[in-house]
Amino acid sequence: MPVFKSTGAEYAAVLDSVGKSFQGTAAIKSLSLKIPTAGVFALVGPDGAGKSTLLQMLCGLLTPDSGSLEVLGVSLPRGLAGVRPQLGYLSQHFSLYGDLSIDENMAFAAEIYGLKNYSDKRDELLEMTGLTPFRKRLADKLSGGMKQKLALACTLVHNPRLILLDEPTNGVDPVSRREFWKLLRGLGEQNITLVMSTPYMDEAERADSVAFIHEGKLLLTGSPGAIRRSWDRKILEIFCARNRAAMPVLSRFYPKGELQIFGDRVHLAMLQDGPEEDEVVRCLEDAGIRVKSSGPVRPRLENVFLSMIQKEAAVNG
Amino acid sequence: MKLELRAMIRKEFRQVFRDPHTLGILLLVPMLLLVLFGYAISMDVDNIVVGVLDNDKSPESRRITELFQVLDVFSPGESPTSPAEAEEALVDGRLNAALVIPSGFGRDLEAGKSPSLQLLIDGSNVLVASTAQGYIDAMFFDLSLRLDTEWRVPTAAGAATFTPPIDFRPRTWFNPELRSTVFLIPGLIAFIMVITAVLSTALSVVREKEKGTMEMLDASPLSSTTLIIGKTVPFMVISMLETVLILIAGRFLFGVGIMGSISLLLGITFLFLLSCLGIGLLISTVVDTQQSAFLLATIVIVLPTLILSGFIYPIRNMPLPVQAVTFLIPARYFITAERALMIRGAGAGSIWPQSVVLLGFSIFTLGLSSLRLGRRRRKR
Repeated sequence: MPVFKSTGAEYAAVLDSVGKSFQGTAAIKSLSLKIPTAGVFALVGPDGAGKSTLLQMLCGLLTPDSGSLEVLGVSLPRGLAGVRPQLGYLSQHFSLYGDLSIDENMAFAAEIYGLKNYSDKRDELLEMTGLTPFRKRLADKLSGGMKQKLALACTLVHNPRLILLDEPTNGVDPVSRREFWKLLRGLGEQNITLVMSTPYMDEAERADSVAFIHEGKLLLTGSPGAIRRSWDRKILEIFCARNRAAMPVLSRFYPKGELQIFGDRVHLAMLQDGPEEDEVVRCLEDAGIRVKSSGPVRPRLENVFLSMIQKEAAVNG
Repeated sequence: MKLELRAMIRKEFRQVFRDPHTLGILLLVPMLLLVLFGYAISMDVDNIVVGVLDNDKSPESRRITELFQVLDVFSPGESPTSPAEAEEALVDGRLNAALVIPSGFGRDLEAGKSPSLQLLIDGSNVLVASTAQGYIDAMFFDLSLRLDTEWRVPTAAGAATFTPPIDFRPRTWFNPELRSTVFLIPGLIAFIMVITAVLSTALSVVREKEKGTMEMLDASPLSSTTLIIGKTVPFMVISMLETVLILIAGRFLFGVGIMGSISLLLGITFLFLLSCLGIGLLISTVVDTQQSAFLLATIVIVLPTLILSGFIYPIRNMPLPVQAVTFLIPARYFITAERALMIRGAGAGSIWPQSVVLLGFSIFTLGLSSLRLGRRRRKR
């Protein structure tokens, strides 16, 4: 087994012009990306963006059609056998044996990685995930959140250095999701690299770095803070009586992607040479829509992302 | 043994014993088939119901009527009083055959004439009709000879010293009573093994695909070889145990023992099971759902084994193109070898061609499925 230095390597994975198609349809289009070592890296994008394909390539389940891919300093697919024991992959679907108990699932997950003395690690993971009281319970009899935690525990039992999680919080209740994130954060601090895909922007906000993926292409990557700071636009938040009615009025100045409804408010990404705040408010009032309040707010990742998708669409015609 | 392989095998056993469906296929189906084929589906014909329409009522006609009460295969039915009644009983199925004795039969016989007897047989069930005809033919042939001696050559010695010109003594070896269970049990073992070994292997692999656990195995360092061995060993063990159970049941429930060597029998069973597991794995590399695996297995192997392996229907009676297809069915070779070993007590010398073919089948199916599995895991 190749020996890896625990520190030194700056990137856990490096993708260079990677492409992948399925039956002629391109899922990933010449994508280049560097995933820094340690911490949580979030792949963000709508359904069908190519996040799962990317994760499956990183763990060797899929082979790129073009470009080069390096994981933990090893080129794939050539060095896959050597690097496989260092990887942990959690599929989007529940991929444990429902007819085996928590303990049995953990034992199987460890043993197929050739691990013999895993009981300490197993106990530690069960303690960490709060599953210890249910060890003898069959996986099928667990709640959705517990299943997901068990799946994570099984993914971690062989001490992987790079963990790939495909929408791990999908179908998990908010409380369990918070606990789940606490677990991920803790792992990120132990020099372990976690790459997770998520359709949720609030999750991306908590990651150390994010990459926006859209239609198989990388739109943007960086830390959430840096992305927000680098974005040169202001967000105007408007509370008005009738959000839906406001949309057609606002879309006269702004393309759809720059406008978002968040519950009782509308977010507007201001354009450099576009109308100012007072002008927008006046237009709404003229249309008979009463504006309760308005003002600039700190942009969220979601604002940036949606605006970028909008720009993409405009470029592509 | 490698830790990974041991983990695979242990997991497989656990799942088999926890999944009611798999356990059902492995335990219930064999038991059901054993009872069905052993007791219900017997091809031996007995209880042929014969009615006698006696228009003569002479000592001779009574003698003939009594003949039907002596033989086990016949059970005496109602006695019709008119030809119309006899016909009605045949149509209704109350009688399988009706014998019509004309009036004056006894008198004519005594007078040395050759009186006629009419036998009406219901031909709607060929098996019953031909058996009835065979028995009754033989019965009257024998009776005619005896009567010939009694009346035409009345010597002092009488019928007891009657000697036919040829002393013909047929003797059926290996299965003197020609019981069909003796013939069916070897084929039944093959059939049950096909159902359990092929189906359970195919289903267990496809279930991993369906449930998404295959993806986890694919992402692990587990090799294709370990995966295949891990999937075959448990079902091999279970199927071998089942074979032993059927053999025990065959011996004690149906009196079908093993005339030849038990170790040879287990040896060829092992080879046959290997090819069944290979076929099961091969099926699992073609389909992705348990439903289609079940369907495919039924069409390509379960039904052909039932019909084309010589289990029930003799291969030599099939049209030539169909006979050619039977060469592709592993059970054909296994059943031939089994009958030789179990019923005829043959030795290793007579089953080596079957052993070689089965070994070839195993190597081919296991090789092809590991190739396909390996390719799927590498090239995606």
